Amino acid sequence: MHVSLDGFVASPNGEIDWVRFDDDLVEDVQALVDSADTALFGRVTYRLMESYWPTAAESPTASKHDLDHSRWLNPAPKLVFSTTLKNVHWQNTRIVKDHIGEEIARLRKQPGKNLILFASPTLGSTFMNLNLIDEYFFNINPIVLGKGKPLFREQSEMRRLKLLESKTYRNGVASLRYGRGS
Amino acid sequence: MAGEASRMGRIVVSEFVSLDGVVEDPGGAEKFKHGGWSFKFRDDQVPKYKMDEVFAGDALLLGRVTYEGFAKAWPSMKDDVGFADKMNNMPKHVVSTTLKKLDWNNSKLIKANVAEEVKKLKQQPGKDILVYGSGKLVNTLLQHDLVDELRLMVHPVVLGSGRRLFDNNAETMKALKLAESKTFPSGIVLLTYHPAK
Repeated sequence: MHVSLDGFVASPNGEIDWVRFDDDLVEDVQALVDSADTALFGRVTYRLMESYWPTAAESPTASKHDLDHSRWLNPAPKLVFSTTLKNVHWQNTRIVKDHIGEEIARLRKQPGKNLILFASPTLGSTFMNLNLIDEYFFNINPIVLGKGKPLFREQSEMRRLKLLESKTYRNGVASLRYGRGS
Repeated sequence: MAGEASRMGRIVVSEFVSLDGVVEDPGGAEKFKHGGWSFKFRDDQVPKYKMDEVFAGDALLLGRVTYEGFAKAWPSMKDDVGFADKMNNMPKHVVSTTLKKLDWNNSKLIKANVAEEVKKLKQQPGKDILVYGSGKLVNTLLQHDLVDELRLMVHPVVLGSGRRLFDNNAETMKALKLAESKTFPSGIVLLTYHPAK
């Protein structure tokens, strides 16, 4: 998750043009993605991704990141968690309407690599409440947005995490990795 | 060196913050449901860090809510290292439109023209002017580019509810510069920011 100092993952209209990338950060994000073989999305993020990635690599202005990520994301199994979504138009995508916990438990038992949940703050909060998240990656950008879409929704319980790693990049991003708390 | 004596006051904002940006009542004096949450993450380096921080300052600048919590808690505190004495003796500048009188030792009220008054404070020679908590005030200071250093001690916890540091800052984006990052044994990460320019 790329997040602002005030805890937003996107500006009010969904813009993420404030998110800072540089080569080192892209490399680490790519390594994280490569550790996974399945992508999980909430409806809103899925819609955004579906409108971009299927053809991103074909654009003459495609970056190296576009090419690398397309190669991973397009063929990968994708799960969209939504009660309202009817149709998906991206290869290898399946809609999960309910029984999230059971679905994830089933996937966990299958041999394979990690399941990675991209952005999707609403789904992230749901997953956190269901205690489904093993690791959290936050790339904290050095900017106060003032308003936007919050990473964390209100939760009834407080949740302790365990800091696993912290790293800073030359562009001012602080990357924090957490696991389950004690 | 002439530098130390003639240095202008710097506004240093130092916050205990949860991963979800909550700054409410880390010390437990304000009756918040998770009040005192920061004490769950202490290690032997945090007190030393806070000690160095407070002794690098010579004044506090506080909003009303934080002031009221502090004014209730600190006067009766005592310790061997002089931390509480320093807190109790140092001048306090309190921003509030509603408070009438201040009971905590050496406290002065700023009733209006916050940005102007803070600029005046900064122009006086001195050490750091420390801001703790005071979410609403911090937003005002940030908007007026009056913060010289922002220190966020990010605790490894999602509180889920509570007042957030940047709640009231709905004006414009403000880019900062990451100056330093430090990890404590308890899993707290200290992120230090300076103005971008």
